[in-house]
Amino acid sequence: MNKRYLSYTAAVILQTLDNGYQYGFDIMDVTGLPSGTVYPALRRLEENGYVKGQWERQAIAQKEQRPPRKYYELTKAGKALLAEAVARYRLLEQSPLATNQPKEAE
Amino acid sequence: MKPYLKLIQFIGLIVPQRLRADWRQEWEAELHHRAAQLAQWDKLNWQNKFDLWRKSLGAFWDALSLQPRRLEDEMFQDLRFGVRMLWKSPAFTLAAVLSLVIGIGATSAIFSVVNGVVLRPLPYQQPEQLVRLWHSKPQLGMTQMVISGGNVQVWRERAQSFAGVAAFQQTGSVFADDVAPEQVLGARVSANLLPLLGYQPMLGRGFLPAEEQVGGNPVILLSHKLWQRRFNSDPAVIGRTITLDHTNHHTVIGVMPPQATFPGQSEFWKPETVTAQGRHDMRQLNVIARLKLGVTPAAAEQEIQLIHQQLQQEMPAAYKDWAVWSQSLHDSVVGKVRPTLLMLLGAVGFVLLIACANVANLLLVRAAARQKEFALRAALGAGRLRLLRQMLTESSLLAVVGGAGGLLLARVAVKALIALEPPNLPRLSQISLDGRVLAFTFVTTLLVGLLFGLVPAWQAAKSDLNQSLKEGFAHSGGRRWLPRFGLPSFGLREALVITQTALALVLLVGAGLLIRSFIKLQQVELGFDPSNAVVLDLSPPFNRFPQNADTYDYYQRLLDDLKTLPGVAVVAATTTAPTLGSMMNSPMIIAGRPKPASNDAQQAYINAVSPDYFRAVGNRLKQGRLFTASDNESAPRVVVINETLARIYFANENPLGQRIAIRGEPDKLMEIVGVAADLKQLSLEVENKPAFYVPFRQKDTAFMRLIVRSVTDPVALIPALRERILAVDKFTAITRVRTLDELVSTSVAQPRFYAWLLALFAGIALTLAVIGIYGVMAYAVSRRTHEIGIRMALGAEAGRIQRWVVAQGALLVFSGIALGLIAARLLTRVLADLLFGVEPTDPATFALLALALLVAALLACWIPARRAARVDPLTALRHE
Repeated sequence: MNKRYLSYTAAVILQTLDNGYQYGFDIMDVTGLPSGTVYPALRRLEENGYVKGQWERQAIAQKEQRPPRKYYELTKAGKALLAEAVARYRLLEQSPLATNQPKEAE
Repeated sequence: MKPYLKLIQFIGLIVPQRLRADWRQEWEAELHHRAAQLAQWDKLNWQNKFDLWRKSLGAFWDALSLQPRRLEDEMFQDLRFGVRMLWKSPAFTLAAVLSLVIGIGATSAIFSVVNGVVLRPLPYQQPEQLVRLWHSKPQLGMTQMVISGGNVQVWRERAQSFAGVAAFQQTGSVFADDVAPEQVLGARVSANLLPLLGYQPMLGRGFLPAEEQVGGNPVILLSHKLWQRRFNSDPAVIGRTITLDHTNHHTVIGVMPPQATFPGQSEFWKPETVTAQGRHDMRQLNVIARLKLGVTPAAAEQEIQLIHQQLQQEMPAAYKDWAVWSQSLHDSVVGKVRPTLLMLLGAVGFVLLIACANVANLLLVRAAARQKEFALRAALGAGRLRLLRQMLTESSLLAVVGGAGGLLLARVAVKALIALEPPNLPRLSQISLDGRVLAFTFVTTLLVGLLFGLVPAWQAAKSDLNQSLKEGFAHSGGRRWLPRFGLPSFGLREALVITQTALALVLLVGAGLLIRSFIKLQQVELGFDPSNAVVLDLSPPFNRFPQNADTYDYYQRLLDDLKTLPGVAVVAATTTAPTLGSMMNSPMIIAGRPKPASNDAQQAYINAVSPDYFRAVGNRLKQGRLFTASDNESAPRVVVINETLARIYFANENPLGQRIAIRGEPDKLMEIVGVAADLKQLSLEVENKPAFYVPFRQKDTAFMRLIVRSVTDPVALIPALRERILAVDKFTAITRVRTLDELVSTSVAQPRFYAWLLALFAGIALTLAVIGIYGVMAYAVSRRTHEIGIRMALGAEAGRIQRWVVAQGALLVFSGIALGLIAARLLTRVLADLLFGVEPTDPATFALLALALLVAALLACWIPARRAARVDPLTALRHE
């Protein structure tokens, strides 16, 4: 994805990740975007190296008796891109997202 | 398992395999998490459940977004697999690729000729606005007649449709400054011609309108080529005075850029002065006009018709029997060759189709052989679409390799074609593999790949999985033929073979007609002996011969001198040579009969010759006597007529002793002293016309050719001849030297070229078709080894089996030939204009080639038939 054409959706997702939400579902909850939008966007961002997905350790999953989950983090390039996007989409700063605090880590 | 997880499992099926496990786990984890969340807050009521379902459906969109990657993956897979499969069966691949290379290569080569000659715009400024204007005499079938200077003036004054009306005449001059004398082709042009075409001088200036006036300052423009060749690219040549034809002084005023060679391959331009003279009764000019912006050719045509009507009223004597018409310049240049080229393109298209049919057949055979593989893949879950794509990838791969090879072949072929210099093909220099040809080849390749790929792919994809697996593969599709020794059911493969045979026959018949016509042309009674004779065109320094007697004397000296050269048998002078047409063509008067009513009646060709002419060309005397040295300017006028003239005008009387005259010189009656055999004065396909010969010393003849008959190879004599001619007069330019053999061969060059080319295509087509027939029959036999074994075990004789297989093939061949004969009957009429002495529907040619094809095809069937007959029943029965 060319960063010049970074979509508003992608910008919102980057912003959410930057705010500390790591899971797909968190992103959906915070942004209200449907899962059918969030995941494809995440994959494109990952493909272009703006976010990085990682599997949590097997041990954690086993302890909680659930499948291991994948969490996403911003990369350096992602952070830079976000900064650019924020400058472009002024609204991001005023959106409620910007002030949302990350939930307590589980 | 929770239902939403099942949904994820299911949707995961469309995710590319490489990503599927990760994908599923991620979604499961997320949904699991959500379920847990919901369960914490509340029991999972139906609302929550619905919410979960809804969220799971997002997985579908996610999976869809991954589809492009899946295609990408599989395409590479298909490609890799395709390459591997093609590599694994090199014989098949080679056969298929070769067929395609030939088909695509030949088609691209001919297309590039069509493109360069017909499709490309002419290399002039806005060429679509240029028109040729012609006079015609429809009642005599003369369509492209040149135009009088007076008419050009009238058009310039009255016609509103044209931005300019320009005129030209082609001419030749001898350049003798500094370097050896040389005859150079050029043109006399109106001052506006070169600018009208869009050419500006590279050096110096163009012509001024005032220079068109008679008696104006003689000026000349040089072509870039001539400037380089004769003037060392010296810019100081501008303003210099050069001498043309040993006598006329011209001031060089400019040099044209390299691309300016109009008309033809002109190397210099002088102003024409015919228009300025304004005569209406002398037609000498070729006329090109440029349409004003926005004026349609039709409107211009209408206007010149209107002006012509005015002229017919004003000057009935000059315009009464004449008509006028216009034609786009493009048509006037390429109009004549367009049908021939399109015919060739059609022929080569047939070759391509046959090649496609061959490859399709090969693929069909292979698809059948690979049925097990496909069945297996289908059983393992490959979709029909997936299999189809695999097959299409393979066929496209073949097509692309074939296309690339074809392009290389086309490159070589185009170079070869240009080197062959196809006779009478205009714009040769503009033939090249340009973008349009590349695009054509690319599109052809794609279409071809689809065409021959789709058919077998479709067959393979729809094949019945269960059937294939059950039948143990060996006999899948085995019910192609009815059980008893009956008719084959006509499947795709058979249809392809029939089509191939039909197409090949059409090409064979076309080539056959052209070859027959060429042979007929070769058998034409020439009336002269072309071997061991050479024709030398001379341009003597006439300025040094003020009197006719001086000219006679000059030629006499040449003849006397050359005669003594060792190896020379006979030397003669003549105004023209056999096949080269005629210098003079005039109505004649016969003493004692009324004058011919019009200028067009009693036309005869006139040739002035030295006494030895008839011996030099090998022409026979039929009656009376030939000329002698004493038939000179002081002797009574005599004439020798040809047989055709004698037959037409002296059918019932003895021509000898009769007297005739040229219409323009009615008082100079000549006595007929002999009748000579007809000889081909024009090209070979034209019928002999009435003609007569006069002794050159009794006619004001300037330009004469020499014909030298030698004892042995005439070519070896040429250097010595040149030397002697220059020794007689060092200012003589020898403009051209050709053997009589060459002249004959040039005059049949065009028919030979097309016959040769079409024969080449037909040969390729025949080979491909025979290979196709062989392939299908061989395959059929190999497929039915088992059945043949049973039949033989039950007592069928080898001979019967053999006959049976050949009969199966013969049925296909006969159907193809029948279809081909019908198609050929409909199509060969496009050849009509190229044929001489043969009808486009010539039954002998049709029959002969149908027979030839039949024999070749049956031979192709016989080889597999023999193999079938040799089947050992025991082995065959074990063969499963």
